[in-house]
Amino acid sequence: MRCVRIRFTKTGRMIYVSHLDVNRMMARAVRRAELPMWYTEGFNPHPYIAFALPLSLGQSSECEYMDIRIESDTMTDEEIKEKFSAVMPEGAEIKSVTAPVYDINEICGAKYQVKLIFNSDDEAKAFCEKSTALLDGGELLAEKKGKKGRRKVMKQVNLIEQIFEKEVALDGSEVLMNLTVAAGNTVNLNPALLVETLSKETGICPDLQYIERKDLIIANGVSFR
Amino acid sequence: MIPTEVEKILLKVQKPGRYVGGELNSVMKDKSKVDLRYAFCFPDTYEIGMSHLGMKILYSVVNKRDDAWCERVFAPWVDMEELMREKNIPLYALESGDPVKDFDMVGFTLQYELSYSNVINMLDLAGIPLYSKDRESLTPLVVAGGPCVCNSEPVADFMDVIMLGEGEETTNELLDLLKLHKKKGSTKHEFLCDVAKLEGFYVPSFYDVEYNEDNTVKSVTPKYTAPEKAVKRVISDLDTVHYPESFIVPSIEIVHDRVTSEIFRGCIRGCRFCQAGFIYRPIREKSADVVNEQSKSLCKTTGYDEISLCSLSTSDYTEIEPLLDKMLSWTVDKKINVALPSLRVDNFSEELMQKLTAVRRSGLTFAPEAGTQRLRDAINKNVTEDEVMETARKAFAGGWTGVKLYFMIGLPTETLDDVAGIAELGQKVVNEFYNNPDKPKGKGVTVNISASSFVPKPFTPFQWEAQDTMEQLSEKQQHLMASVRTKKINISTHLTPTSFLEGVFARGDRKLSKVMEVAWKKGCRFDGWDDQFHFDLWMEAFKECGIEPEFYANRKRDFSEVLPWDHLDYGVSKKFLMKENEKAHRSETTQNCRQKCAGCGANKLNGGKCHAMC
Repeated sequence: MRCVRIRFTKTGRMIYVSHLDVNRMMARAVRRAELPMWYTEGFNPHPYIAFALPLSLGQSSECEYMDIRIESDTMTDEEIKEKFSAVMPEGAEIKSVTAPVYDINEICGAKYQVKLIFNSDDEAKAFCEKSTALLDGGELLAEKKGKKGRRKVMKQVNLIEQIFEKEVALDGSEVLMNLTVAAGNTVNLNPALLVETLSKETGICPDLQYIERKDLIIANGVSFR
Repeated sequence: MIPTEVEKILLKVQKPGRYVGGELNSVMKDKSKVDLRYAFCFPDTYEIGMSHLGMKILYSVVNKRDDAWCERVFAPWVDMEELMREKNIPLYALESGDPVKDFDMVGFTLQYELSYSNVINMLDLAGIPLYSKDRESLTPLVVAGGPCVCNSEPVADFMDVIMLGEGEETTNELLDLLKLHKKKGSTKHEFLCDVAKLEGFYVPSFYDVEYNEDNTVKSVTPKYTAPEKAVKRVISDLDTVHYPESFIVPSIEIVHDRVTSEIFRGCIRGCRFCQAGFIYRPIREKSADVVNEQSKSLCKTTGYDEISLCSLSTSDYTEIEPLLDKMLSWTVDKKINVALPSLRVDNFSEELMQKLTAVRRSGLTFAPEAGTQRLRDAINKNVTEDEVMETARKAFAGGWTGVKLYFMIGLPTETLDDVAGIAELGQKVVNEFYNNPDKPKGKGVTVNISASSFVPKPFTPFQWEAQDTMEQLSEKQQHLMASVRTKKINISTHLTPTSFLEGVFARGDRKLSKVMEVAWKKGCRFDGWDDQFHFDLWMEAFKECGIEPEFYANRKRDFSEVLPWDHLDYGVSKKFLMKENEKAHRSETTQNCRQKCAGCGANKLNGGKCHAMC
């Protein structure tokens, strides 16, 4: 048995498929690919599949990671990639198949590209200016669902503390943002929450928004592999 | 592709995956290269509609043609509908994202009466006039099929053409004819005249209905090219008829998320309450080799890990054991589970049970249907209490710690003693568990009893019977609850107003289309969903239209009455149904079709052939 890490994309219509459904979808894909999967040994045997950092509904990604376990030591990564690629649905493309390097728990950040489309150039300009000012300030508070023991409570968080790097640019009626934010099991910033908070604070709402995850990183900004 | 306007609202609704298409194995074509575009509409949510086998089959039948493109359309959930109406987004098909009103043919499958309001709502969302008479041009042609069209009268005014029976051949014939007439530039009337001549089609506007003063039907008179009786179509050979090699694999979870392999059509049993048992006759089996190969192909193309064998009363399949042996020879290795959703208690063997648990154990469900032997005889459910007990014993010995039992209340001739009998039978099953010397330690038993409300349906021996009133049903439900004396039994029942409305539409006539339109305008849709069902609005609609719903649901009909569906021929003769009705009232059973042919008449649809007799 060996562990294989698969990087795939989530684009187009696939962005409307939730993390849980991607899970199910991949379980079926490994069956179609007829890989010699390693099965769990319980009452309900199923192939072992683990995912790194779930992606929010509605966001696209170039860097989704999935670990699987296969029985065969002879099948090469290239063969696995070929078999897998042949059975994937539209919007989920296999980028690479490799042996895992880092542990999923090491992930501490993610890079996103956010594209916001406004109804007019003026709106975009105003949003861009006001947002830049807000992001350069020391505090941008947002309400977030959290837990206190077993109870579910609303928590206030300072989003600025969770943004490592930022770049905001104006392009006609569009605002483009390149963000590196906290991500992982302990602290995680969803860019959709940032956009929502900025819209609330500036009083300007984008007509359409595209959020794309570009990379996952571990400590010191090294790309997750 | 999804229109941008839709993209803007998708993240504001629940489960946006319902509205985007693009799933594995969905069919994309170049619309400039096809002559016909067919929008196949399922009038319920994506998750329900995508679970339906008929749609998968017909989608594949049409898309096999080079000249036609079949796309799927489902009813948007209320949150999506609200936004679509607000932003003026018309109903669109999932594959192309194109508006439904631009299609040549728009087809609805009518699987249950409570989806009718969704049909109207979908036509309106598409921007298509509701009534057939208001649509003058040939296209979009609005058609319907499915089990409910055996009495399509309540929706007849909305439909241009209704397809009776199995659709693999008729769908293609209708498309061929439409293509021809489109090319010729025919009027809709010219086209309909040609359709009405074909077997398996019913053109509602070609029949005039007259009523008596007591509101019953006086006569139904055909005109133009329409035959006296429109006859249902059946597929003669299930081995050669088209069956999909692949199913669309939904990206989001649906209700029946698995491979469905059909093994036969029709049923030998003749339970008198069961519409499916009569309208799908005559019985025709698919051979085990064909089922096995088709299942293999479907597993390969979909990646599902479960196969469900589909038919009525699955264990009546003559080749069930050889089929399971063939399938298990490859499914066990691949960790694929084989499930039989429709089992009978009188032929459930230990071998069968072992085969079902080869990979993983699924639930066990049996349907005694009634609590006492007398009533089981009256409804011709030829199952004895001993058989129920024997099956429970086998199941418990085989390691199950729970079973699900299906019953009905409100059956003709039923008394409160019969209702209490359901609880007693449940109790005996519970006792059976504790009588098992090898029962697993520290484990209790659960017996889930589902007691649905009986609704009399057309083309059954009970089509003349009065449905129990809502009060009677409630009383019986309460009596059942009171009769249960153990916590090991859970009982679930249906809402009585839902069953009442179902009963009205099941045996309704053309006067109901107006009621439906009024109720829909008041906001009725998704009536099959308890949280969306507005009984008060329906009652207002009936009142405004001056129609008493009880006339349809709770009235016992005379054998001599003209029934609204008498001009449709589903093979089974009215005389046979009358005989069965009389036997029911004498609590006399009829042997199953393999023991002795009861002469129902359905074999005439298949050139005199019926697999039960060979």
